[in-house]
Amino acid sequence: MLNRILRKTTQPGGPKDGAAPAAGAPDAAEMFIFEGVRQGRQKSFEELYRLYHPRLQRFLMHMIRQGDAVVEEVLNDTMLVVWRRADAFDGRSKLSTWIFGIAYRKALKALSRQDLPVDDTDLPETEDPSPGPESVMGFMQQRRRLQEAMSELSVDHRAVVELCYFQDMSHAEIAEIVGCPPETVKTRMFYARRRLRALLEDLGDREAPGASS
Amino acid sequence: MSNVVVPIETDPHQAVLALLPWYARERLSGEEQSTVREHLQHCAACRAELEAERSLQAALVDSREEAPVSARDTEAALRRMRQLMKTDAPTPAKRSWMPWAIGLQAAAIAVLAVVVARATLEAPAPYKALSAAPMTVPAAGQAETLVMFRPGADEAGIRKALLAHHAVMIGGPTESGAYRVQLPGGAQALAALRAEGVVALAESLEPPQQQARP
Repeated sequence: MLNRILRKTTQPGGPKDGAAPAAGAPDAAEMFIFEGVRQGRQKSFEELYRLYHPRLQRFLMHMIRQGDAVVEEVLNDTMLVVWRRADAFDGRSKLSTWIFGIAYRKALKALSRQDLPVDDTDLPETEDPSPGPESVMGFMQQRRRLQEAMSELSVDHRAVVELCYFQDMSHAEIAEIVGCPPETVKTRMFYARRRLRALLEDLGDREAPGASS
Repeated sequence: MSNVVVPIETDPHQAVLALLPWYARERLSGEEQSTVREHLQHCAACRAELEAERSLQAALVDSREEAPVSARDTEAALRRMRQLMKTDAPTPAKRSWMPWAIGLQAAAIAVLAVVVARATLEAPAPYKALSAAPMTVPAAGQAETLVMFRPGADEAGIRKALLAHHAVMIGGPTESGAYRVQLPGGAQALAALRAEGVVALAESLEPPQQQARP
């Protein structure tokens, strides 16, 4: 069952866009912009903001799972730290790692402030998917199952999954962002994947009680 | 329980399984990548896991059907960011230049003392607090420029490029490896400097219309 769900949309599956550690040109360009930020140039900051806004928005949206206003508040809080504390970046890590680390901590703070359950399942229930060709229905179901499964993960596990699969970060980078040893990141990822697969099995069985895997 | 760290490295099998998400994305270090590759060659179980991992990744990515964040959204958020900066943020302390700033301030005081004592009639040089060069007063048409050199650029190459454009290095390297350079000749010279093989990036630090700092 699980394999059917998973394999359906499989493509070669490898790295999307040359995921090899892309040091060099983009990093140098980013650092160049950041140098201006460090000197207090608002124009440079705005350039950096435009560069990071889409990535941070994605990350925070899935981390804190709140409305746009909350996401933007956390995002702008993050960037305010980047602006005010640019001197705190010591250049030992990548700039993106530093910025995502700030965003991660801000997200955790926002979650605790709102006293949100970290294992919330606030995805809209679509009990009765609109009728359509079977393939479309299957696809929609699968998508919904995956979204549900993601929302069932703890915030720690969700963070590593987000950063690995959707932000294309290495385990060392993720370790720096979430502030734990790389071994812990690997362990979290291991259990997150296992949990995702188990949840997908559960969800699949619940929807199709007769079906055997 | 996410806080419990179960050692999964003891078993080579487990160690490989733990690395598969990154192996599938080619985000491992060279050494790790080859360790996993070697293990996969003779381990059918892990190869099957890799297949499952790839399927999971593909399915998860497919499950996200989000419209890309539009430039309009970014600009709207940026407008509110500007507001936030205005109301909330003091001008960031440029601490990376702090040692310079202190030196400059001392120099400025000394210069001022001399000027007052002699009561010269010279027109005062435009005051440039933190971005001013320590030893040079920028003459008209001398733009302060931030330059990054290509990795591997050697001293001779850098010297040649700077001499060719009558540029003078006045600061750096910063933590990110950039240098501050005094460059005469305006935009044309800047373009010419950028075209030098050893130069990765060059940008004027003096947009003429703004950046007056208190």
